[in-house]
Amino acid sequence: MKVFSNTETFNYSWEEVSTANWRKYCPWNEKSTHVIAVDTLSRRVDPATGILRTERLITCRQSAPAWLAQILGGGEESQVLETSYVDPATKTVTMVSANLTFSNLINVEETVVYKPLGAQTTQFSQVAKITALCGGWQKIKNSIEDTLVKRFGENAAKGKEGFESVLAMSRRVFAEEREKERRGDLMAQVEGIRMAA
Amino acid sequence: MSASLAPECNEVKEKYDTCFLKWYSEKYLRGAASSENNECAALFKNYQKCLGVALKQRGIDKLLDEARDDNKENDAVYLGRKYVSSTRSTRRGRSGVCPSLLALSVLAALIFAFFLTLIVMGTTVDTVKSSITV
Repeated sequence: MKVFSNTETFNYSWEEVSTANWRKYCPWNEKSTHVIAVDTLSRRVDPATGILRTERLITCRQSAPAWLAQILGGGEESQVLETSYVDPATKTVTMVSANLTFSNLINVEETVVYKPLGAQTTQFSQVAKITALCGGWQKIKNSIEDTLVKRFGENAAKGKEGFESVLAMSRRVFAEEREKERRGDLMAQVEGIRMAA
Repeated sequence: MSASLAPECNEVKEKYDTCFLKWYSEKYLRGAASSENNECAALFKNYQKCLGVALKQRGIDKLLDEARDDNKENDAVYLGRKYVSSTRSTRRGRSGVCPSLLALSVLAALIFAFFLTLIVMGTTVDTVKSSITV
Protein backbone atom coordinates (compact mmCIF):
# COMPACT_ATOMS: atom_id res chain seq x y z
CA MET A 1 0.00 0.00 0.00
CA LYS A 2 1.15 3.53 -0.80
CA VAL A 3 -0.24 6.75 0.58
CA PHE A 4 -0.60 10.15 -1.02
CA SER A 5 -1.50 13.14 1.11
CA ASN A 6 -1.94 16.81 0.44
CA THR A 7 -3.26 19.92 2.21
CA GLU A 8 -4.53 23.16 0.70
CA THR A 9 -6.15 26.34 1.97
CA PHE A 10 -9.04 28.10 0.28
CA ASN A 11 -9.81 31.73 1.04
CA TYR A 12 -13.53 31.16 1.32
CA SER A 13 -15.79 30.44 4.27
CA TRP A 14 -16.58 26.82 5.11
CA GLU A 15 -20.22 27.41 4.13
CA GLU A 16 -19.18 28.61 0.68
CA VAL A 17 -16.74 25.74 0.19
CA SER A 18 -19.17 23.07 1.34
CA THR A 19 -21.87 24.45 -0.98
CA ALA A 20 -19.57 24.80 -3.98
CA ASN A 21 -18.37 21.26 -3.33
CA TRP A 22 -21.70 19.99 -4.72
CA ARG A 23 -20.99 21.66 -8.03
CA LYS A 24 -17.28 20.97 -8.12
CA TYR A 25 -17.57 19.00 -11.33
CA CYS A 26 -19.48 21.35 -13.59
CA PRO A 27 -18.82 23.31 -16.77
CA TRP A 28 -17.27 26.11 -14.66
CA ASN A 29 -14.46 23.75 -13.78
CA GLU A 30 -12.38 23.52 -16.92
CA LYS A 31 -9.78 21.40 -15.15
CA SER A 32 -12.08 18.47 -14.54
CA THR A 33 -12.95 17.49 -18.10
CA HIS A 34 -12.21 13.85 -17.23
CA VAL A 35 -15.38 13.81 -15.11
CA ILE A 36 -18.25 13.04 -17.47
CA ALA A 37 -21.11 12.68 -15.02
CA VAL A 38 -22.03 13.02 -11.35
CA ASP A 39 -25.15 11.24 -10.11
CA THR A 40 -26.67 11.30 -6.65
CA LEU A 41 -27.61 7.79 -5.53
CA SER A 42 -28.91 8.41 -2.04
CA ARG A 43 -29.19 11.26 0.40
CA ARG A 44 -30.54 11.61 3.88
CA VAL A 45 -30.12 13.54 7.09
CA ASP A 46 -29.25 11.19 9.93
CA PRO A 47 -31.95 11.87 12.55
CA ALA A 48 -29.65 11.08 15.47
CA THR A 49 -26.69 13.27 14.50
CA GLY A 50 -28.06 15.75 11.95
CA ILE A 51 -25.30 14.67 9.57
CA LEU A 52 -26.15 14.77 5.86
CA ARG A 53 -25.00 11.53 4.23
CA THR A 54 -24.83 11.44 0.43
CA GLU A 55 -23.77 8.80 -2.07
CA ARG A 56 -22.68 10.00 -5.48
CA LEU A 57 -21.57 8.04 -8.50
CA ILE A 58 -18.81 9.81 -10.39
CA THR A 59 -18.22 8.72 -13.97
CA CYS A 60 -14.84 9.51 -15.48
CA ARG A 61 -13.38 9.12 -18.89
CA GLN A 62 -11.20 6.02 -18.73
CA SER A 63 -7.62 6.85 -17.91
CA ALA A 64 -6.25 3.33 -18.47
CA PRO A 65 -5.10 2.60 -22.03
CA ALA A 66 -8.00 1.51 -24.27
CA TRP A 67 -6.59 -1.94 -25.04
CA LEU A 68 -6.06 -2.71 -21.35
CA ALA A 69 -9.56 -1.52 -20.49
CA GLN A 70 -10.91 -3.77 -23.21
CA ILE A 71 -9.19 -6.83 -21.78
CA LEU A 72 -10.11 -6.12 -18.20
CA GLY A 73 -13.67 -5.29 -19.16
CA GLY A 74 -13.70 -1.76 -17.84
CA GLY A 75 -15.12 -0.17 -20.97
CA GLU A 76 -14.49 3.44 -21.88
CA GLU A 77 -15.73 4.82 -18.58
CA SER A 78 -14.60 4.29 -15.04
CA GLN A 79 -16.68 4.84 -11.92
CA VAL A 80 -16.07 6.01 -8.40
CA LEU A 81 -18.46 5.84 -5.43
CA GLU A 82 -18.20 8.91 -3.21
CA THR A 83 -19.83 8.80 0.20
CA SER A 84 -19.90 12.15 1.96
CA TYR A 85 -20.80 13.25 5.46
CA VAL A 86 -21.61 16.88 6.22
CA ASP A 87 -21.70 17.74 9.90
CA PRO A 88 -22.95 21.31 10.31
CA ALA A 89 -22.43 21.17 14.07
CA THR A 90 -18.67 20.68 13.83
CA LYS A 91 -18.47 22.30 10.36
CA THR A 92 -16.84 19.30 8.76
CA VAL A 93 -17.30 17.78 5.34
CA THR A 94 -15.78 14.31 4.94
CA MET A 95 -15.82 12.57 1.58
CA VAL A 96 -14.68 8.99 1.10
CA SER A 97 -14.24 7.81 -2.49
CA ALA A 98 -13.56 4.28 -3.72
CA ASN A 99 -13.05 2.98 -7.24
CA LEU A 100 -15.73 0.69 -8.65
CA THR A 101 -13.89 -0.03 -11.88
CA PHE A 102 -10.89 -2.38 -11.65
CA SER A 103 -11.77 -2.98 -8.01
CA ASN A 104 -10.44 -6.53 -8.40
CA LEU A 105 -7.08 -5.22 -9.47
CA ILE A 106 -6.54 -2.14 -7.41
CA ASN A 107 -8.03 -0.49 -4.37
CA VAL A 108 -7.98 3.30 -4.19
CA GLU A 109 -9.60 4.95 -1.21
CA GLU A 110 -9.45 8.71 -1.01
CA THR A 111 -10.58 10.71 2.00
CA VAL A 112 -11.07 14.45 1.69
CA VAL A 113 -11.92 16.68 4.65
CA TYR A 114 -12.99 20.33 4.55
CA LYS A 115 -12.76 22.20 7.86
CA PRO A 116 -12.78 25.90 8.70
CA LEU A 117 -9.44 27.48 9.56
CA GLY A 118 -10.94 30.90 10.16
CA ALA A 119 -14.13 32.80 9.27
CA GLN A 120 -13.00 33.21 5.67
CA THR A 121 -10.57 30.34 5.23
CA THR A 122 -11.13 26.62 4.81
CA GLN A 123 -8.65 23.80 4.91
CA PHE A 124 -8.77 20.97 2.42
CA SER A 125 -6.92 17.80 3.35
CA GLN A 126 -6.66 14.74 1.19
CA VAL A 127 -5.32 11.27 1.92
CA ALA A 128 -5.35 8.56 -0.74
CA LYS A 129 -4.49 4.95 0.06
CA ILE A 130 -3.53 2.92 -2.97
CA THR A 131 -3.26 -0.87 -2.83
CA ALA A 132 -2.55 -3.06 -5.83
CA LEU A 133 -4.24 -6.39 -5.28
CA CYS A 134 -2.67 -8.71 -7.81
CA GLY A 135 -1.04 -11.20 -5.49
CA GLY A 136 2.57 -12.27 -5.71
CA TRP A 137 4.13 -9.91 -8.17
CA GLN A 138 5.55 -7.32 -5.83
CA LYS A 139 7.36 -5.50 -8.63
CA ILE A 140 4.20 -5.06 -10.67
CA LYS A 141 2.26 -4.06 -7.59
CA ASN A 142 4.85 -1.45 -6.69
CA SER A 143 4.93 0.05 -10.15
CA ILE A 144 1.12 0.24 -10.34
CA GLU A 145 1.00 1.92 -6.93
CA ASP A 146 3.79 4.35 -7.81
CA THR A 147 2.11 5.34 -11.07
CA LEU A 148 -1.12 6.14 -9.25
CA VAL A 149 0.59 8.08 -6.47
CA LYS A 150 2.29 10.16 -9.16
CA ARG A 151 -1.02 10.74 -10.90
CA PHE A 152 -2.58 11.93 -7.61
CA GLY A 153 0.23 14.43 -7.25
CA GLU A 154 -0.22 15.73 -10.78
CA ASN A 155 -3.98 16.04 -10.33
CA ALA A 156 -3.76 17.80 -6.97
CA ALA A 157 -2.62 21.12 -8.45
CA LYS A 158 -5.18 20.91 -11.24
CA GLY A 159 -7.89 20.05 -8.73
CA LYS A 160 -7.13 23.11 -6.62
CA GLU A 161 -7.12 25.41 -9.63
CA GLY A 162 -10.41 23.98 -10.90
CA PHE A 163 -12.16 24.27 -7.55
CA GLU A 164 -10.93 27.87 -7.14
CA SER A 165 -12.74 28.84 -10.34
CA VAL A 166 -15.91 27.07 -9.16
CA LEU A 167 -15.70 28.93 -5.82
CA ALA A 168 -15.27 32.30 -7.55
CA MET A 169 -18.17 31.62 -9.89
CA SER A 170 -20.33 30.32 -7.05
CA ARG A 171 -19.75 33.49 -5.02
CA ARG A 172 -20.72 35.62 -8.00
CA VAL A 173 -23.90 33.68 -8.69
CA PHE A 174 -25.00 33.82 -5.04
CA ALA A 175 -24.31 37.57 -4.90
CA GLU A 176 -26.40 38.08 -8.03
CA GLU A 177 -29.22 36.01 -6.58
CA ARG A 178 -29.19 37.99 -3.35
CA GLU A 179 -29.20 41.21 -5.33
CA LYS A 180 -32.17 39.99 -7.37
CA GLU A 181 -34.04 39.06 -4.21
CA ARG A 182 -33.23 42.41 -2.60
CA ARG A 183 -34.46 44.20 -5.69
CA GLY A 184 -37.59 42.07 -5.69
CA ASP A 185 -38.25 43.03 -2.06
CA LEU A 186 -37.70 46.69 -2.85
CA MET A 187 -40.07 46.53 -5.78
CA ALA A 188 -42.68 44.88 -3.57
CA GLN A 189 -42.24 47.61 -0.97
CA VAL A 190 -42.58 50.35 -3.58
CA GLU A 191 -45.64 48.61 -4.90
CA GLY A 192 -47.03 48.42 -1.36
CA ILE A 193 -46.47 52.13 -0.76
CA ARG A 194 -48.06 52.98 -4.08
CA MET A 195 -51.08 50.84 -3.25
CA ALA A 196 -51.40 52.49 0.15
CA ALA A 197 -51.20 55.93 -1.41
CA MET B 1 -24.51 21.58 -13.12
CA SER B 2 -22.88 18.30 -14.07
CA ALA B 3 -24.56 15.80 -16.36
CA SER B 4 -26.02 12.40 -15.55
CA LEU B 5 -24.37 9.25 -16.84
CA ALA B 6 -27.69 8.55 -18.56
CA PRO B 7 -28.47 11.47 -20.90
CA GLU B 8 -32.19 10.69 -20.69
CA CYS B 9 -32.07 11.54 -16.97
CA ASN B 10 -30.38 14.95 -17.40
CA GLU B 11 -33.56 16.96 -17.20
CA VAL B 12 -34.92 15.38 -14.01
CA LYS B 13 -31.45 15.45 -12.47
CA GLU B 14 -31.01 19.17 -13.15
CA LYS B 15 -34.34 19.93 -11.47
CA TYR B 16 -33.40 17.91 -8.40
CA ASP B 17 -29.87 19.36 -8.15
CA THR B 18 -31.20 22.92 -8.28
CA CYS B 19 -33.73 22.15 -5.56
CA PHE B 20 -31.13 20.45 -3.38
CA LEU B 21 -28.57 23.26 -3.64
CA LYS B 22 -31.17 25.82 -2.59
CA TRP B 23 -32.25 23.66 0.34
CA TYR B 24 -28.63 23.03 1.37
CA SER B 25 -27.46 26.63 1.33
CA GLU B 26 -30.62 28.31 2.57
CA LYS B 27 -31.99 25.79 5.04
CA TYR B 28 -29.65 22.98 5.98
CA LEU B 29 -26.55 25.07 6.66
CA ARG B 30 -28.63 27.60 8.57
CA GLY B 31 -30.10 24.91 10.78
CA ALA B 32 -33.58 25.54 9.39
CA ALA B 33 -34.14 22.14 7.82
CA SER B 34 -36.43 19.45 9.07
CA SER B 35 -34.80 16.05 9.34
CA GLU B 36 -36.16 15.05 5.94
CA ASN B 37 -35.44 16.91 2.74
CA ASN B 38 -39.14 17.13 1.92
CA GLU B 39 -39.33 19.86 -0.65
CA CYS B 40 -37.00 18.00 -3.03
CA ALA B 41 -38.27 14.49 -2.26
CA ALA B 42 -40.64 14.24 -5.23
CA LEU B 43 -37.96 15.49 -7.63
CA PHE B 44 -35.45 13.03 -6.18
CA LYS B 45 -37.90 10.15 -6.66
CA ASN B 46 -38.33 11.07 -10.34
CA TYR B 47 -34.60 11.25 -10.83
CA GLN B 48 -33.99 7.90 -9.11
CA LYS B 49 -36.68 6.20 -11.19
CA CYS B 50 -34.82 7.21 -14.32
CA LEU B 51 -31.32 6.56 -12.98
CA GLY B 52 -32.14 3.14 -11.52
CA VAL B 53 -32.90 1.75 -14.97
CA ALA B 54 -29.65 3.11 -16.39
CA LEU B 55 -27.57 1.63 -13.54
CA LYS B 56 -29.11 -1.78 -14.01
CA GLN B 57 -28.58 -1.70 -17.79
CA ARG B 58 -24.91 -0.92 -17.30
CA GLY B 59 -24.45 -3.48 -14.55
CA ILE B 60 -23.27 -0.79 -12.15
CA ASP B 61 -25.84 -1.72 -9.50
CA LYS B 62 -23.87 -4.83 -8.53
CA LEU B 63 -20.57 -2.98 -8.29
CA LEU B 64 -22.30 -0.43 -6.08
CA ASP B 65 -23.53 -3.07 -3.67
CA GLU B 66 -19.98 -4.35 -3.19
CA ALA B 67 -18.58 -0.86 -2.70
CA ARG B 68 -21.33 -0.02 -0.19
CA ASP B 69 -20.42 -3.09 1.76
CA ASP B 70 -16.82 -1.92 1.90
CA ASN B 71 -17.93 1.49 3.10
CA LYS B 72 -19.75 0.25 6.22
CA GLU B 73 -16.70 0.87 8.32
CA ASN B 74 -16.70 4.54 7.28
CA ASP B 75 -20.37 4.88 8.19
CA ALA B 76 -19.47 3.60 11.61
CA VAL B 77 -16.71 6.18 11.96
CA TYR B 78 -18.47 9.21 10.51
CA LEU B 79 -22.03 8.56 11.64
CA GLY B 80 -21.14 6.86 14.90
CA ARG B 81 -23.07 3.75 13.94
CA LYS B 82 -22.51 0.25 15.20
CA TYR B 83 -20.62 -1.83 12.71
CA VAL B 84 -20.70 -5.59 12.37
CA SER B 85 -17.58 -6.84 10.67
CA SER B 86 -18.42 -10.53 10.30
CA THR B 87 -20.32 -10.32 6.99
CA ARG B 88 -17.88 -8.00 5.32
CA SER B 89 -16.33 -9.23 2.11
CA THR B 90 -13.00 -7.51 2.15
CA ARG B 91 -11.91 -5.73 -0.98
CA ARG B 92 -8.47 -7.13 -0.48
CA GLY B 93 -9.88 -10.64 -0.72
CA ARG B 94 -11.12 -10.17 -4.27
CA SER B 95 -8.43 -10.91 -6.76
CA GLY B 96 -10.35 -12.54 -9.59
CA VAL B 97 -8.55 -10.63 -12.32
CA CYS B 98 -5.12 -11.87 -11.30
CA PRO B 99 -5.43 -15.41 -12.72
CA SER B 100 -6.75 -14.03 -16.01
CA LEU B 101 -3.88 -11.56 -16.15
CA LEU B 102 -1.47 -14.42 -15.61
CA ALA B 103 -3.15 -16.47 -18.34
CA LEU B 104 -3.01 -13.47 -20.62
CA SER B 105 0.72 -13.02 -20.20
CA VAL B 106 1.33 -16.74 -20.81
CA LEU B 107 -0.74 -16.48 -23.99
CA ALA B 108 1.20 -13.41 -25.11
CA ALA B 109 4.48 -15.25 -24.51
CA LEU B 110 3.28 -18.24 -26.57
CA ILE B 111 2.24 -16.02 -29.49
CA PHE B 112 5.57 -14.23 -29.32
CA ALA B 113 7.46 -17.56 -29.35
CA PHE B 114 5.38 -18.73 -32.32
CA PHE B 115 6.22 -15.67 -34.39
CA LEU B 116 9.84 -15.84 -33.38
CA THR B 117 10.00 -19.41 -34.67
CA LEU B 118 8.34 -18.34 -37.92
CA ILE B 119 10.85 -15.55 -38.42
CA VAL B 120 13.81 -17.76 -37.65
CA MET B 121 12.49 -20.49 -39.96
CA GLY B 122 11.70 -17.91 -42.64
CA THR B 123 15.24 -16.58 -42.67
CA THR B 124 16.76 -20.10 -42.80
CA VAL B 125 14.55 -20.96 -45.77
CA ASP B 126 15.54 -17.70 -47.44
CA THR B 127 19.27 -18.32 -46.87
CA VAL B 128 18.96 -21.86 -48.24
CA LYS B 129 17.05 -20.54 -51.25
CA SER B 130 19.55 -17.78 -51.98
CA SER B 131 22.52 -20.16 -51.61
CA ILE B 132 20.88 -22.51 -54.14
CA THR B 133 20.35 -19.71 -56.71
CA VAL B 134 23.92 -18.54 -56.24
